[in-house]
Amino acid sequence: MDIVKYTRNQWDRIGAWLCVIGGAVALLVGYLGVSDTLNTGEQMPYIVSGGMVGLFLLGLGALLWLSADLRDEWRKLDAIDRHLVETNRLPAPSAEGSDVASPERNGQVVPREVSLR
Amino acid sequence: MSATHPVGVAPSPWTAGQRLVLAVLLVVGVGGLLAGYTGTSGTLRVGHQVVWIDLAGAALLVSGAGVILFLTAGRRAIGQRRLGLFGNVVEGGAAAALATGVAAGDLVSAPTMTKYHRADCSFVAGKAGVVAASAAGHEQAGRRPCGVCLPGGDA
Ligand SMILES: [Zn+2]
Repeated sequence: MDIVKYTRNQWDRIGAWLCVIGGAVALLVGYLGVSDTLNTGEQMPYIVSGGMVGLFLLGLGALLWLSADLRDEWRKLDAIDRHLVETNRLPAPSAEGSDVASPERNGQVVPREVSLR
Repeated sequence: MSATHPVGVAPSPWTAGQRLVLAVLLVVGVGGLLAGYTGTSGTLRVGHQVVWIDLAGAALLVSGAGVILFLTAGRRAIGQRRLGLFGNVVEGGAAAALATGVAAGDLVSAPTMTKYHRADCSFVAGKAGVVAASAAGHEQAGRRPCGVCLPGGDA
């Protein structure tokens, strides 16, 4: 498994880690900046750039990680769905004017081999 | 449900509209934080800075709400799809029962069961040894009508 493929498949989890690391750094910078001075006016920018940006990045990281889980679950349901149709245990989706949806025709599906657990 | 999401077609649980809403709310958050930072950096007067801090905080909340909405929507889409999927599997079981000689309108039960059901009821889907009889026949055997599929009619 090469690193390019892994990055393409897991961009959201890699992004999540980067956001969490960035958020932690921002919180640290904010803390150092605020504790560096007793002047409230000088502290305020650090509250925004450190505290709030840090929280934003942590939230973004959580979003990326959880949405990656949801996307995996969706793909898994997709695979089950397709398997059931192919083994005739499920009536083919009633797409008007078209017959059974074959997996080859689903060009827009990007299988994520790594994370189909 | 598989009609709204044909097999293999939707590569993610979110619609384009939901992605757009999330993107807009995240942009609002980034914009608010940028404005808050430049606003608080531009002055040392705390009274002026507080407005910008409030703005940044509000933008942060808007983004947070967007994240929660987005994740909830994905969770719900997966739940609905799962329900549709396994609902279909249960229907498939009912079809298999039909293939063994039980007709769609029949009232069915099994020797081990205390209730009788319509043949398409999910409680009998996939059950082995299901046999059909008239409502009177089931009642004589000491079985009561199912409270879910209401084989005696819902009156
Ligand atoms: Zn029933």
